[in-house]
Amino acid sequence: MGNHFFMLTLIPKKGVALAVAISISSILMLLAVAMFSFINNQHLGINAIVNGEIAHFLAEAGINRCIPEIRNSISSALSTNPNNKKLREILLTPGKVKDTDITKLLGGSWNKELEKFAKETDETAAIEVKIWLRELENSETDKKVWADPIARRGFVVIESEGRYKTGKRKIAIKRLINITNILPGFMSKFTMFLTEAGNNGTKKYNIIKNDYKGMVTDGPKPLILYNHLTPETPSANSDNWNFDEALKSEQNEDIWKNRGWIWIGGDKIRLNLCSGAGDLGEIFHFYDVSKVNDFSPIRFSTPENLLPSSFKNINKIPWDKTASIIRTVSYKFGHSFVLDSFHDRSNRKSSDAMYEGGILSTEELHEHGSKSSVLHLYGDARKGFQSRTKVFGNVYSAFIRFSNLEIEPKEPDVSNIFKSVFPPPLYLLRSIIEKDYSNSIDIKEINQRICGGPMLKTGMLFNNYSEYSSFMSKIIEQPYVYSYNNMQEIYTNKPNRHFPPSKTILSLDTDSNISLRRDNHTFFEGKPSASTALQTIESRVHLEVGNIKEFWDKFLNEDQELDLNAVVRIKNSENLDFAVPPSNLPQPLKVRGGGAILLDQGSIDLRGVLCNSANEALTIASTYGTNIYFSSNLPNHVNIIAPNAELSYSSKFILFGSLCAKNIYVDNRFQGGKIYFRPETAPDSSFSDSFYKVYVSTKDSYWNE
Amino acid sequence: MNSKSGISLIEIVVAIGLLAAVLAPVFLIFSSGNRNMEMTEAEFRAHNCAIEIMEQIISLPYKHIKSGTYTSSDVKNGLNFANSAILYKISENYESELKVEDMKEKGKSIFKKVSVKVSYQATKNSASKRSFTIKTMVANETN
Repeated sequence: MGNHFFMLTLIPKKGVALAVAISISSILMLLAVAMFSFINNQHLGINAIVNGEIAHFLAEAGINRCIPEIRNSISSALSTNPNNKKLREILLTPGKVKDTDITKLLGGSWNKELEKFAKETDETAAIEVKIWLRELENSETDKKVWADPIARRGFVVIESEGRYKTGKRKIAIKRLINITNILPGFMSKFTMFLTEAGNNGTKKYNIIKNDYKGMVTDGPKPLILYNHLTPETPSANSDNWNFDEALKSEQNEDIWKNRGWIWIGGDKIRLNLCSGAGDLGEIFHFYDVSKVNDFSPIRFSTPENLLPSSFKNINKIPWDKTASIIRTVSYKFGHSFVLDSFHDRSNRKSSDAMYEGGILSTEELHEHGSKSSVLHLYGDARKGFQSRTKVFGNVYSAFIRFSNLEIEPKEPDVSNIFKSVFPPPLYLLRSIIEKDYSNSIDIKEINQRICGGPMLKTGMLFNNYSEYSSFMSKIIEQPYVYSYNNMQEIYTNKPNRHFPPSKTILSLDTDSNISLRRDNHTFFEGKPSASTALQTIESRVHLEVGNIKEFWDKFLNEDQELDLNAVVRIKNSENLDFAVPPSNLPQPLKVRGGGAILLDQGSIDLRGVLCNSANEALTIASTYGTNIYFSSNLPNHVNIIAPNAELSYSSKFILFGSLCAKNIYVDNRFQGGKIYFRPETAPDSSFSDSFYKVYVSTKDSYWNE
Repeated sequence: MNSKSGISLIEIVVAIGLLAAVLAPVFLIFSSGNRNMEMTEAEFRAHNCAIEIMEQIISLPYKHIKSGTYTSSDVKNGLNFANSAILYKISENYESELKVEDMKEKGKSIFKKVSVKVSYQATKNSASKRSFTIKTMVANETN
C-alpha cells in the first residue's frame, strides 16, 4: 500500500516538467532583469556623480575666471575707471543699498569666454556667472568717532552654474565688500596733531638762536608748517601759481576753516615768536606782507579814550634845546606801538638796535630769553606762504611790544625842526620794573638826539607805575590763536588799528569740541583724540599680514611700486622698525594705489614716498611705535598717526600730509623740516570723495552648493 | 492510463528547449552586468584619480602652479609641475595628462586653466581605452 502511494507521487503528471521549466525561466529572467536594472542604475548613478563633479569644477572655473576681474572692476570704479558711472553711483550713494544684480555693470566678457571654455570639455557643457551686491549697509555711524555715510560693508555674491551632460551644479560664494575712505578721518584736517607737546616744559620749543634776519645761528633747526596749498604741494599747479590770489584769500576772516589745523595737546607751551625777514621768520605776525618784497612794520595806535588824561590836552613843556634858547613849547602826545619778535643778541649793533638802550628790562629778557621757537606754525615769511589757521591747545605766543610816545609840536617852527630829523625822532617808553619806577624818570629820544622835543619825565604823563606799565615797552604773552585776529586786521588793512584787535574771531581753545561737515552731513562732532583716529583705521582693516617682509612681498608690484588699494594691518610681533621704502628698494618709493597701513607696533622710518597722483594718499599708523624717523631729505607724501611716538632727530624732512605724534624731540641734533598740509585730503573738502576705495575680500565667507 | 499521467518525451524536450532559450540571454545579461560593473569601477576610480589630482593642484599657492603639459610620470613626481611637495600615486592601469595654461593680462597672470585627463582601460580584457577630462580655472588673487 505504502509502495503504491510512493509510486504514484514519483510518476510525474503530464505538464509538470513544462511548468517547472517555465517557473525557473521566469525566476531567472526576473533575476537577470533586476540585476541588469541594478547595475545599470548604479552605472547611471556613478555617471551622475561624475557629471556632477565635472559640472562642479566648471562652476568653480566660472568663479575663478571672473573673480580677479570682478575685484578689479569694482575697485577701479572708484579709481582708474571713473567712467563706470552706474556702478560708481551705487558705490558712492550714501546709505543702505538694496540687493542689486551688477553683472552687466561690470562689463566683463567672462560669460562668453566661459561658454567657449566649457565647450572644450563637451558640447553639453556650459557655465553661467551672475554677480550680486547684497546687504550693503553703513559701517561708520558714530559721530564721536567718525560717521561716514558712504562707508559701507556688505557682500559681493558670485553665483556660478556649471552644466555637464546630466550634471548641474550651482556654487555661490559671498565675499565681504568694504567701501571706505582711506584718509584717516578727522586727522587729515590737521597739519600737526601733538598729543603731549607740553609735557617737557613750557620752554621746550624756545631754543633756536637766530639773528635779526632770521638766520639760525645755533641749535636745532625749525619745523615749519604750511597749512594751505603752496606751489610745492604736489596737487598745485606751480606754473600758474598766483601769489596775489593766494594773498587775497587771506582777507577772508573765516579762512581758517579751509586751512589745516594745529592741535598741541598737553600742558601749556609758550612759543617765542621768531624775528627777521628771512625765510625762517614769522614776520607776518607783525609786518604787513601784502606788498611784494615790502614788509612794512605794523603800527598799532592806542585809542585816545584809553589813554591817561594828560594825553588829551596840549601840554606846555620846555624843549630840549634849553642849552641854547630857553623856551616852552606846546606838545600834543599820542601813543602807539609796534610788535617785534625775538632774536639773538649779537655784537652787531646795527642789527640789534631794538634791544639797545635798555628798552626791555633784563628781568623780562631773562624770563623769556632771546631764543625763539623751533615751531613755526603759520608757514614762513615768503609772500603767499603765510597760512593762518586755528591752533588748538594751551599755546601762548610771546613777543616784544615797543611802545612809542608820539609827540607832535604844535608850534610851526618847532614842528619843522622836529620833522627835519631823519630818521624821525623816536621816544620809546622803556620797560621798568616797579621797584625802579619813579615819576622823575626822563623820557628821551632813543638815540639821544636834540631835536626840539620836550624835556619829559614819567610823572608828567602817568600818575603811577600801574598806569605807566600798561603803556610801556615789554614782552607780552597771549594765546596763540589771537595772532589770527591781529593778522586779520592787517590783511584787511583796517584803519586806526589798535591792539588787541577790535574784533575777536577766534578765542583760546584748550579743550575743544570740533565739528566737521561735508555736503550737509556731520562727519565728526566732539573732542578729537589720536586714539579715536586709530580706532577709525582699525575698524577699516581689510586684511592682515604677520610681518613687514610679508607686507612688501604682497604689495610691491613688478615696477617696485607700492600697489596697496586697501587698509592693511601688520602685526609685526618682532617689533621691527617699518622703513618705507626698505633699504633694498630705490628711493623714493612710488605709491601706485594708496591706502592705509596699521602697524600694531614698531617705529616708522620714512625714506621718501611719492604718491602717483593728487587723488592718492598713504596713511601709516603705529599703535605702540615709539619713534618717527626721517632718514632722508626726500619728500614724503604720507599721513602719519603715531600717538605714542616722538618725532626724533634725523634728517631734515619734508612731509606732505598730516603728522600725529606724541611730541617732538628737540635738541641740537634736530634738523627741522617742513610739513605741507594737503588741502585736497581735508575731510571737509569735496575733493576727499576721490579717496574712497572699495575692497573685495580674497576670502570666501560662505560656500553654498 | 499510465501514459496519460506521466511526462512525455515531447514535454521534456520542450521544457529543456524553453530553459535553454531563457538561460542564454540570462547569461548574457549577467555577463554584460559584470562588464558594466567593471566599467563603473574603472570609471569611478578614474574619476577619483582626476579629482584627487585636480584638488591637489587647486589647493597649491597660485605661484607654485607651473604652466605646461605633463604626463603620468610627471604627475607621479609632482615636483615637475609644482614647486611644492605633491605626489600622487596613480595605478599602472591609468594614464594621466595634466595641462596648465597661464592666462595673462597686461603681462600679469590673472588665472590658469587646469585640465586633467585620465585614460583608462574600460575592462581588464579590453584593448580599447577610455578617457575622462576635468577642467577648471584657478584665480590669481595676490591681494
